[in-house]
Amino acid sequence: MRGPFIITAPFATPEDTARLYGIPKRRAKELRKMVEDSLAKKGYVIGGRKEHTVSKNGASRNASHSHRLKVKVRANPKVKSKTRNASRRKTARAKARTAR
Amino acid sequence: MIPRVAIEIPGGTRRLDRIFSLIQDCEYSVHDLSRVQLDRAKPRTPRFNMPFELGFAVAWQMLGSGRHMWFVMESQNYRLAKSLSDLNGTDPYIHAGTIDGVFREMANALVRRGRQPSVLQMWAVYREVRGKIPAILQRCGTQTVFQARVFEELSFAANVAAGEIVR
Repeated sequence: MRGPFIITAPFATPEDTARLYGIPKRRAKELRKMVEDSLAKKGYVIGGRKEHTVSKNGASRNASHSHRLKVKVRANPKVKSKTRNASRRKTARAKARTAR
Repeated sequence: MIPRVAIEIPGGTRRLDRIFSLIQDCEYSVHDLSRVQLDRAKPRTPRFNMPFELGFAVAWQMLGSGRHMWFVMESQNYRLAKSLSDLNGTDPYIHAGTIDGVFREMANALVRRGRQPSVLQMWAVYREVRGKIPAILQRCGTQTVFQARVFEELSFAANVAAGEIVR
């Protein structure tokens, strides 16, 4: 078997590719958006670190964060009482009555 | 590396000149000889384009620049020794006629320090590009991918996808 050949040339950027092929800027932008949107749906973080949706049971990290956030809100009694309607709060008189 | 194909050059020049010009422009060329087979239409004849182009690349490397690198791919072991014995001593990359095999052999042939895509990442890029084919064909008003504009847009899409997937 022939040995591998080591490539030293840098990775071609999409701009280089578009320039070489003569793809108009507007079309290049459209194509780029199409691919990036599709990859974002698959769980890749565009323009940043790659993030695979390989957490347990197919749930992405983002999904588990949002879940955790929800649980936190529900478990917080202070937040819950704040959201309560003023007309439904027990008055001091009613509290005293139930305590008896 | 940006892939090139003969159809992308304007049609004014002769096909042969276009192909040779592309080989001269490129540092690497990959020649898949697995499709050197008899066609269905009568009179049944083998397709000799690929071996002919390989001859160009070999000549360019030996007599021309010296910096050109060519790779031969085949689907079956030992078939090249039978069909093109002049290349004895050159081991082809055997892809077994599968996409997986092509990715594996390309990864074996071309190595990059640092950012080297895995076969799984190549699959991810492939799926991404394949999914874009209908939209690109529709926009280009054609039904075949063997057209200059379609090839260029697919290649551009692959470049964007690879940039995001292979980090």
